Amino acid sequence: MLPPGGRRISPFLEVNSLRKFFPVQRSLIAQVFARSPPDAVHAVDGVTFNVERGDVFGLVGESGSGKTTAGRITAGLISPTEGHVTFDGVEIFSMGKSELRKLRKRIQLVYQDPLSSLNPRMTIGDAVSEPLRYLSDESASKSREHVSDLLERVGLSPADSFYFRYPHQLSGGQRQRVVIARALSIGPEYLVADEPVAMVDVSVRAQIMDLLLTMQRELNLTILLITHDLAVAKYMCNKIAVMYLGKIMEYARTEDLFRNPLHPYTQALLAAVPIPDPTKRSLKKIPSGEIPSALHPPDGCVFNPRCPRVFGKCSIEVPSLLEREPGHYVACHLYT
Amino acid sequence: MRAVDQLLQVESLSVEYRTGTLAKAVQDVSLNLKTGETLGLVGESGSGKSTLGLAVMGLIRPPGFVTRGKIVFDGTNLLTLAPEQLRELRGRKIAMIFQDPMTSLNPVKKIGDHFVEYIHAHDSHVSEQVAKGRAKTVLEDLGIPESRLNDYPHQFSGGMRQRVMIGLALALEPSLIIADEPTTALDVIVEAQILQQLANLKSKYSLSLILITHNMGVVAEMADRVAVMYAGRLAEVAPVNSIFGTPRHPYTEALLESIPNILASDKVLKTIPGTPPDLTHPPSGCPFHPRCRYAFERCRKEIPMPVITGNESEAACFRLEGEESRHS
Amino acid sequence: MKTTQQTRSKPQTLSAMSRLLGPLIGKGYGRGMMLVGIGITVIIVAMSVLAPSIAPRDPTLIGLGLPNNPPSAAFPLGTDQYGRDMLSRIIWGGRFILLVAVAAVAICLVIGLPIGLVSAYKGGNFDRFVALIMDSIYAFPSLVLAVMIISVFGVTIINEALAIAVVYIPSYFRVVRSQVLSIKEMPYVDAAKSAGAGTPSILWKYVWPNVIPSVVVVVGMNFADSILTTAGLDFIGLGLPVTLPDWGIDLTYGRQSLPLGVWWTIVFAGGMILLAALGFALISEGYAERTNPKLR
Repeated sequence: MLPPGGRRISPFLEVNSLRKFFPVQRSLIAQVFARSPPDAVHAVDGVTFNVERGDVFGLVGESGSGKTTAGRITAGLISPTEGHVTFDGVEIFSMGKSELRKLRKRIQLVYQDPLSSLNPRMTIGDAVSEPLRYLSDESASKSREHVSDLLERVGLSPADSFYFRYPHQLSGGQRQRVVIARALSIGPEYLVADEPVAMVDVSVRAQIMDLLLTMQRELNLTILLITHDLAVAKYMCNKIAVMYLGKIMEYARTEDLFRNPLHPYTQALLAAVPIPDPTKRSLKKIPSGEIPSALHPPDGCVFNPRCPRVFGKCSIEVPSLLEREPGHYVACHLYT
Repeated sequence: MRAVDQLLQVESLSVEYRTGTLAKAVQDVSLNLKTGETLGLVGESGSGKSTLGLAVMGLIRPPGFVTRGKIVFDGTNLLTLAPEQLRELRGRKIAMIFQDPMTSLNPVKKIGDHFVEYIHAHDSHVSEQVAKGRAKTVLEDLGIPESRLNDYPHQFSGGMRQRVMIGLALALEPSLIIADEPTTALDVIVEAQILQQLANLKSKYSLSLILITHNMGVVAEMADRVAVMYAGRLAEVAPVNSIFGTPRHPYTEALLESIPNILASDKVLKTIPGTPPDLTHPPSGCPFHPRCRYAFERCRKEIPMPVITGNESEAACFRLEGEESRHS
Repeated sequence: MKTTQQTRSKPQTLSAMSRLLGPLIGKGYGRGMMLVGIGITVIIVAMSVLAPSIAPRDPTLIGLGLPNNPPSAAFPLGTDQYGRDMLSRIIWGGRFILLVAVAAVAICLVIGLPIGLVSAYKGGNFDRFVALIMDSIYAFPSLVLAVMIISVFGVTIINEALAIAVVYIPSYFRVVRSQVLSIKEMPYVDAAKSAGAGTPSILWKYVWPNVIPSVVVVVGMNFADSILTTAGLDFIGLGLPVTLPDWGIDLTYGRQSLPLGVWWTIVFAGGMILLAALGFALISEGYAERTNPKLR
């Protein structure tokens, strides 16, 4: 059976059985005298999916779901504890230094907080030129032109007035445009966008989302969108994977996921999202409790303590992610 | 409109911040709240919604100054009260819940002690037992077992802490609660839990609620009436169905068209150009005019006053000026 | 004799003093503090540099006037017990002290900064180990260490500077480290890595520029502390040869003459020491106030 998202042809990005455990820090003495390995946070615990070129793939989840860690691993920023990430046929984490450099040209990130993603001591122009400076052979003057073009393209016009300004002189939305420009300057093929609009003013979010989608179309980008906001995911993504405590609960094409959510967690998420339409108020069934600690995840299905449809098997066996309908995968014993 | 059941009347309130530069956080805002009503106060950063909430609580301190207006709560103008009188009122009659519970709770005090201290501050003759009993009742309604009264704040998760904050706010049985972005920092499922609990508590304790948020979804779920603020001014006020169904102010209209909705299939989001203004250098005339699709010459020069557009509805926009005569 | 605690706490007392003065200077008092501090420092430095030209008399010449004479028209700051002109001695008296301060700060910057930057940026057990060492040095009383070094290796500008520097390096390390630890978690550092920047570039362009403000604060304090320590060493006789003009030395002899009613030596020599240290402390506090209002 193919993993979610895959086709027979070699996919653009393949993520295989990814696991990332963050050991809890111990004192120097404890490290020297310890008899057992340290406790670890199971940030990502067995994630497998494929992304095709041109996808806007959504990794959706609440805090502790592991979506951010998984996303950053696919960008090559963190190395996994186990598992493989294959980008355009090559395994990222067995690359040598020079190959990794070339990878940097093809993969870039857009961050959540526009303010802390920009060096407060660097001008906008310099910030956007950085990738060009290190990863390309463009001359300084060519870069300057390139960057001005880019600033115009992301809506920071006239480029000349923005080139020499500092981040604190721009609004949140403008800063986010700079972050996007910087990510695109080197002409990457794959963009990992981590909550790109969460910290942007509500009236400006649509602008930024549209900018990303426009750039995606014009530059044939593949985007991995990490978000907790289902509405944003619905608007921007064509495929969505729902994560909980380090595992994928459900994966489907966007229309399918919203039309027919299979996993009780997905259903809970959808029920919980506040709808900006007062005529749609309803009595919701919200699961009780909170997300357990990723230090000691529950046995069996990680959602079982809170699942409204839990039964015996759930706390014993971990359900596998299986294709229930064409292109629609779910990890739940209700469907095995 | 003055009715017998008006709990809170804000009249022409203005608040400024003077920190070297002058920022007019709230300008000439008039609002009403009926007993038992949930008013959703909506706006983005710089809208003044949080400042308005703080002003009602009497928590505006230098460099913030209330420069004009009245805040009439249960017949008394809060702005004329002495600090001790205001302190009496706070907690007992009006309580506030903030966005980040972590910084509002004393990390070295047990939760039970927080309640005892809070209740004692208002009623020093209440015994510790009675205070803790009150805490237990209130926390039970929020789904927190009595045993947790002996825990410290860091032993609670974010959602639980916020529930503790709500519990504290309810401890003295106030008639009005002001909640400033109470669920913004929480995950969506916990948010839904807490909103549900808040709605239940509201009816059980006969509360009136001012819910301050930038999330239109939360407002649609919880509010009876909605007040939309922009750049310190009131853009529009209307019952919740009217605001969403027939928004009259261009900002409300544009905002609703720009937010994604998981139930609306294939909605095309219309972007709003520009960014919210810098309050130290606000635009001339109507603050929304640089981004407004209907803006005309007058909008650049004059500031529109609220115009009555329906039952308990008003909006501040020159386009609506013909309406007043129809509705008065 | 000044104890180590007094020497170490003097800058803190000065901080407290300057913080008290601050509000008096008015709104945005950081700027006022800095200006006052800069003013004082510039005058003192200028005075020390131009000493040969501006001192009215040779400060080492004995018997120019009657010994222990109070301030008069001929000798505006009086004379010491050897009949030397106090005014000239005061004008000359800061040179050694300032030179040592400059040397100490230079050593600290050259050694403490890079260690702090690299160790904090590398992180992990290496960093924790280095921090442990630094904390141990930090706990060591500065004056005692200075006395040890000087006794063994003799009095030279370098030795005194070294003694002071060694004890101050941990302060630089700590401040730089705490800044770097928070900066390296910033998304913009991540973005720099994605842009292909190597560690040297990141440290130079992304980390260091954001660390500078806190370093300036420490430098100011370092100067202040160093002035006081050097003066202290001179005071206890481990400083310059007794014949040379030096505020610390004058303070010693001033103390001896005090029972005779000679107040001017102590007042002027001690006053200059305090003033010099205060100047730097004001710059440091004022700058901190301006760049990090939230910290206050």
